[in-house]
Amino acid sequence: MPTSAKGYFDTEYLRVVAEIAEEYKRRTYSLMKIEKGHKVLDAGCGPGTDTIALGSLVGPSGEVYGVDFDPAMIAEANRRAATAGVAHWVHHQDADATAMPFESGYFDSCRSERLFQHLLNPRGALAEMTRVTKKGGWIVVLDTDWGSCGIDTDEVELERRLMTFYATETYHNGYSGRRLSRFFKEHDLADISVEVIPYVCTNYQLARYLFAFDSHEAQALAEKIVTEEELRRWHESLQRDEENGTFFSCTNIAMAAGRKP
Amino acid sequence: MMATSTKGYVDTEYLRIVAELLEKPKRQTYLPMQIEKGDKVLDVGCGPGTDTLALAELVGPTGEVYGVDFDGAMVAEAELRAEKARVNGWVHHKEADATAMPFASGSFDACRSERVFQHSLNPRAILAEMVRVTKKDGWVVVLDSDWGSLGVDTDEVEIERRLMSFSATETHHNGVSGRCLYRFFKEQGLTDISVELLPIVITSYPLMSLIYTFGEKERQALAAKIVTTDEIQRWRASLERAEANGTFFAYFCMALVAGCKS
Repeated sequence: MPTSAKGYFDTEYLRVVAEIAEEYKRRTYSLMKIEKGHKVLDAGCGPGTDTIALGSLVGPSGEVYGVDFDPAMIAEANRRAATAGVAHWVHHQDADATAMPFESGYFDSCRSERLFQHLLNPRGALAEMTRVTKKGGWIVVLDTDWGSCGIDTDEVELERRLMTFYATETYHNGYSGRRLSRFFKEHDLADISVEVIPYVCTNYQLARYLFAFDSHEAQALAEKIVTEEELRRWHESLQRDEENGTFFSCTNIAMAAGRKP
Repeated sequence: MMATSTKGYVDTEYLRIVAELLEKPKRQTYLPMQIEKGDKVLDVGCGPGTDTLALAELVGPTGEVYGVDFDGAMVAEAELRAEKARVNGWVHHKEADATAMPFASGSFDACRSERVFQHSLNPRAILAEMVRVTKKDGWVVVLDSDWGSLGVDTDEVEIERRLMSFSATETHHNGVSGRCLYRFFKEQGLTDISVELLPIVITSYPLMSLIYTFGEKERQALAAKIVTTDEIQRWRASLERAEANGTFFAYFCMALVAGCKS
């Protein structure tokens, strides 16, 4: 994504999501089959939430690399690694996920979380993760399928129009989650498993934040997907639900794992 | 509940295949019903008796199971199966409208309904009726699909979105049923409400076609001019390619919602 900031989020957003995603994060680690001394990679490391956790799993005899296209995230990740006292074996580099500065077969396992949805070339990123992984090593990708996002409302037609627009137009690869199974198979990875994990949010304000409704709605208006009047109706219906305690939204995250043959 | 309309009607062979696929979610509905031996329980939209027979085991011969369905043929088949399974002493099936069931208020210890609301023009009324016939402190459990969550992996994303939105909103009376349940349960004043989403992943194109009757939905979308013949051909070709490559991937979520009548 160096050429585009579509879908870019700040560190505060990433912190809130990381709290919610903690359980899934741990499951990606366990699918990586990490042992002390392993070399592992996190593609799209952001401010280092996962690299620091991985740092304690591999221990000081191991090595963790995080890459991110955003130098500000890399600087923050390095600061956090220093604070956590793991900077000796946890490193972060500013790099393109489709052309990473590592030798082929360098890592025991690789992971990537909520990165592919922002990429124009997710296949290229998976190919690159596969290249830098050792034969027999695990590759684990966790990503959202924004196409499955749904909000309970009587304004169903409006909801379908908005959700389709968000998934299709506000992310480079908004249907990422549902595509992982195919991509893993195309890369001839072995022992592929794909799990779909539903996420329910009954807090309207949190959902607005998590699903970035403010910016998505502004974009939908600008592109004339909805009128101001429709958007007003949409907001009213959701605010009513919030007041009645009946707000309900859901989306799905897919977790794919496979080994380099 | 569908007496005036057959939108979304399906036959017993279809129900058998779906029952296999949905066996796990089905079993998960029995747990929140908190069934004990001797309980009196109800299955709304019982079809050919798949669940009433399973519930019979859970309540035992000292209990009682009722299944209701709007379709007389389903009720007859369910009765036949109950007889074969020798549980007809305490398992009964009745032809009835789910919004006006022939039971006194507070008759049942627990009620369930599975994949019924999606076919209903008035799902709130079914839930209200289930609540009425349930005893105080009894459990009401509903499992239903959210066809709005159905996604099929394809490069023909735009066609896929159009077809899926159309089929969820236009080919079922209440195709996004799953996501509405939480609101409906709250509106009924049920307490201790729990919601669980259960993803159903399908990696076979023929199976997906069968369980979601793609052919029928494509015909309706064509007739409604949602898609062109050429687009349908491109869509099918993409899924056939995925099937041939072993990469077909689709899923949808079912919602399992339980609440207590307080």
